[in-house]
Amino acid sequence: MSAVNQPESDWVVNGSRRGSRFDLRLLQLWRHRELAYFFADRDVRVRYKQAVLGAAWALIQPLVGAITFTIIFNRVAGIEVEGVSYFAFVISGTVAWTYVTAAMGSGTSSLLYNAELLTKVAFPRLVLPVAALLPGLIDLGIGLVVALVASLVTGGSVSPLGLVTVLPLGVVLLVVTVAGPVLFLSAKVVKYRDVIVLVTFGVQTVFFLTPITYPASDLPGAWETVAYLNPAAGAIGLLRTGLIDADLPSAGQLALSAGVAVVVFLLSLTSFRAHEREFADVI
Amino acid sequence: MGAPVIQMEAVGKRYRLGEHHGQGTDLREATARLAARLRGRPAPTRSEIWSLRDVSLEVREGDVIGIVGSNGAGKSTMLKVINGITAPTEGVSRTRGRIGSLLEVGTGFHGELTGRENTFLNGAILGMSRREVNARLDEIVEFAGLQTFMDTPVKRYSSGMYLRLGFAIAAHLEADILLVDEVLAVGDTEFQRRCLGKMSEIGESGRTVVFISHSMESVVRLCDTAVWLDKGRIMTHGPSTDVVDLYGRSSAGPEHAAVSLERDESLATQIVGLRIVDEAGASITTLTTWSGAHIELRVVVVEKMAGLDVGIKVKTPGGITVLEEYVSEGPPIDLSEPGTHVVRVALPPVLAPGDYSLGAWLGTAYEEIERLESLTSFRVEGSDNGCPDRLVRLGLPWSAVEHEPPLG
Repeated sequence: MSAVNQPESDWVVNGSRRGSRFDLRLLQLWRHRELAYFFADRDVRVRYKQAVLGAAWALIQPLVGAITFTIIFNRVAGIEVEGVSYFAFVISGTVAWTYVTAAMGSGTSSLLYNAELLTKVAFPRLVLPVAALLPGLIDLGIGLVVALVASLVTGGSVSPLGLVTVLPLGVVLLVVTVAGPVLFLSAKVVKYRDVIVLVTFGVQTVFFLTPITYPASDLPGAWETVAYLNPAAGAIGLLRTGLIDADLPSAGQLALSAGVAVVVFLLSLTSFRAHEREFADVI
Repeated sequence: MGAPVIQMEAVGKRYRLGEHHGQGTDLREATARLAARLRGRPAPTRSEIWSLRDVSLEVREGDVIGIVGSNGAGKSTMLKVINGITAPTEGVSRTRGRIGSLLEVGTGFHGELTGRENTFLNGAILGMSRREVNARLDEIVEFAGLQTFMDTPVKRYSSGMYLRLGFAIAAHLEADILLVDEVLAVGDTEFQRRCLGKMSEIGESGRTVVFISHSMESVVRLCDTAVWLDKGRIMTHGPSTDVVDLYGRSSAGPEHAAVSLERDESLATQIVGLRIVDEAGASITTLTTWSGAHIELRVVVVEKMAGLDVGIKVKTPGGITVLEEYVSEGPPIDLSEPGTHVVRVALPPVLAPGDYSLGAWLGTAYEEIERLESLTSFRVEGSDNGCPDRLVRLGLPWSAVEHEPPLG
């Protein structure tokens, strides 16, 4: 319903030529925020119906992951982190990555999963991939609390100022980081199903390239800077400043991460806008 | 006449075959095309089909307009372009006001969610705010008749309940323009009646309705104007009775009045033949206003079936049922025994001149086995005696009751 909340005199045009390439129409997304909420709400409800453990999974997942990584990388491979237990260090990274994995998975297949709707109802297509970014935030919230407790229990220090200022910034950067690829790839999946397989594979690979199981400062020389080209590195750096009082990444490193995330997001949104008119015909 | 609310200007929609309803393209095909392009050869092209071509149409506020045409004529594509689901390849379509659509109701329901949860979700998908849905929830629930099932997951619903909830939500959207696609073909008779009632109510309330239907009867009854689409082009646009009449003439030629049907192995009992015969028993396709004929039905009964009944239905091209007669309405005829039964009904010369379609029905008091609408057609020739509007001339008996000569 593209006409919702518009003045009566406005004509809604569906023409053979699309509008400007750079008209990103973010206002349209804002107007349909309630629909995004309902899609997200649906996915959360569906996930917890008939799931015995329900929200407990959000607790179990990062804990089991962090324990495994602590055994492999800390006990077996001997990686140490200065001033904090390895367990607290790694869990603060894995909760972020759990979000990346979940949001990338549901986000890239969001249009395909709702194919029937795309071909039968008119609503802003952008709402679907954006809504898919939301349910994971609940698990991320629970995960962050778990990481915080882990940090305190293992004798780490927590910066209260970092928690209220830097941590939220880290969450925002993380969401923008994921939003870019999700928009670009969800539109590609409409045409090329193979992309879903590539995403699963890609997310696994990037996990090891992101400083999650090791600190970025362990990387030799210029490689540390290169690592921050991956915006997830900047986001996790910010989260860790809040959770385990790790040193804030340098301004340059943060600017690099944030810059890449925003540019990728804008380019992806442009690409999404260029293709959304064809979704109903191609899917 | 109201202000225009839908304007289509020279709209064309092209589909590449294999793309429409397809499973998308895979990378292999894309790579093959890229490789061909790199080698300087033309990429393998796919055949195309124009689902709509050069369609221009203006619909004004308060119009109730019907779209008729055979399958694949572009009716659904037209609604999709108006709705904005798909973009035209050429031309432009504009709409003004909120569009509600009944293109397959219940789309977007999730089986795991309850009726109530689905109502809010579906409402949001159709463009209603949470507050709007809340305000209409009682009406929606009552219209759907699902008061006690709103907290049940819809996967436990029967298909009828599912449909009723879907229709109820869509029908309670305060839309300025309502698009309806053949939704009335489903559901039980009672529900169909309520749907039609709701639609005419919407039409009478001054909102605009665009209605696709295969039922000429509904189009004539509900719509003031109609458009006949054929192969993506507009053939006629005008008063619905005229358009339906023209469309009916084109699709029902008088050349096949005798029909024999393939045996459908899944049916134990079925109609295998239908024809019109003259007094001498020969098949005919043309009747006259002065001589009678018989309609003959051939029915195969495999297993004994008590209370078996057959009937015929004669309709005008406009979809108005003129005659509908069943064996059970006359003196008893036993059709229950296995074998082939041939039954005839006499058709006195009562039909007005014109074209008619002939259908047949088979079933019992409890069950419909076959409903064959417009199976064949025939023409009645002769004079209308200057009465073009009447459908039948029964020759009802007149008699002189009294004559008082003038006094003096």
